[in-house]
Amino acid sequence: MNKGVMAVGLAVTVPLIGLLLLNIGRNPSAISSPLIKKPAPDVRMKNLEGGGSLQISSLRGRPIVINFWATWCIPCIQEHAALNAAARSNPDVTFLGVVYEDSTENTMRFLAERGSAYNSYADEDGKAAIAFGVYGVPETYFVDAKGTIVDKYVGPLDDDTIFAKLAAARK
Amino acid sequence: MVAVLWLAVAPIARAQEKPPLPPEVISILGEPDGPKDGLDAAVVGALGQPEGPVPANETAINVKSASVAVKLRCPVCQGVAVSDSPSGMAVKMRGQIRELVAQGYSEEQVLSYFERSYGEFVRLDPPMEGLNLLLWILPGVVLLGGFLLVLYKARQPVPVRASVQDAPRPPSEAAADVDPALAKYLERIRRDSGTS
Repeated sequence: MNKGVMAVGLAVTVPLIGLLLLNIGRNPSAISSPLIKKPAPDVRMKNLEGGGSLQISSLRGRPIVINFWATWCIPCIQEHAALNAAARSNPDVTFLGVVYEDSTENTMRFLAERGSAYNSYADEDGKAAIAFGVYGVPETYFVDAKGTIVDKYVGPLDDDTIFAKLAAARK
Repeated sequence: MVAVLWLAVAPIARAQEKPPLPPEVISILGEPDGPKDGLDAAVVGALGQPEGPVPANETAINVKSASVAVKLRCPVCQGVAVSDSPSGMAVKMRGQIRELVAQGYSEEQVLSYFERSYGEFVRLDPPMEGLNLLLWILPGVVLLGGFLLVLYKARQPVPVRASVQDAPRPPSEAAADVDPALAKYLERIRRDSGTS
């Protein structure tokens, strides 16, 4: 075979194979957010349970866990128990759910059946999801007491992951 | 002249002013959360005040919104513009684009707002800077390289065809192909046979 053709072929394929090998163990759903280390968007959302509305900036001074979820999302149902347990055992942290592309009726029925240790808020016009750069559910944002987003988690949370992420939000 | 200008501007100014709520209404309902078409704290926090003029009418808002929506990628779709996607997220993004445009935010401001949340990925036309320059330069470089390769190959001598290759060659030309170790024997044979 012509040595030149071989060299060009290797120059093209070796970097591509290297790129493939580097990304084999990577979780494709773990999309990094450009908002990490930036102030949390100061969105206003309607409280589904107690009435009234909430402005994110009003929660400054405490770490916040913002969980985007929906009743039609199976992983959201899987993580519901872990989030409830974490909300009960971490009273210094504000947990809040933001309902993503779901009806108030379905949400209220779900919360009535399964209960919740924290409030959920409606995002009917999608502004909160857009401001936080949500791709799908569940996605959870960890915000420190200064209002800075310290981490984003894509997928269902478990006890250990919540514990680790909260430690970062408390720093 | 001033009077004419005032007559032209006054109706617009009056339309933009909102009458304050009577105290009895505020005492019952409290202060309003803010007008529906007011600026969002999240938007102002990210973009500041609108840079551009408020579009004159609904048609202008629709045209400008559509031109922005074709430049944004739907984040939950596969390479589809926000303008072309029927997904719930794209519908909501179109709603937000329209709202921002109606408030007077410029096209670049609206694009920046979505870029702040989703990264540069959300722009269907990434700006020509940094590593993105490769997207514009690399195809040209590859095309030029291919053209030069073709040109180089075209200038190479045409390979000898089989019929020509098989034809008997003059002894001096054939000798050039002989193994140097055997050359002296070949030379002796030629001398003895009288063919050299």
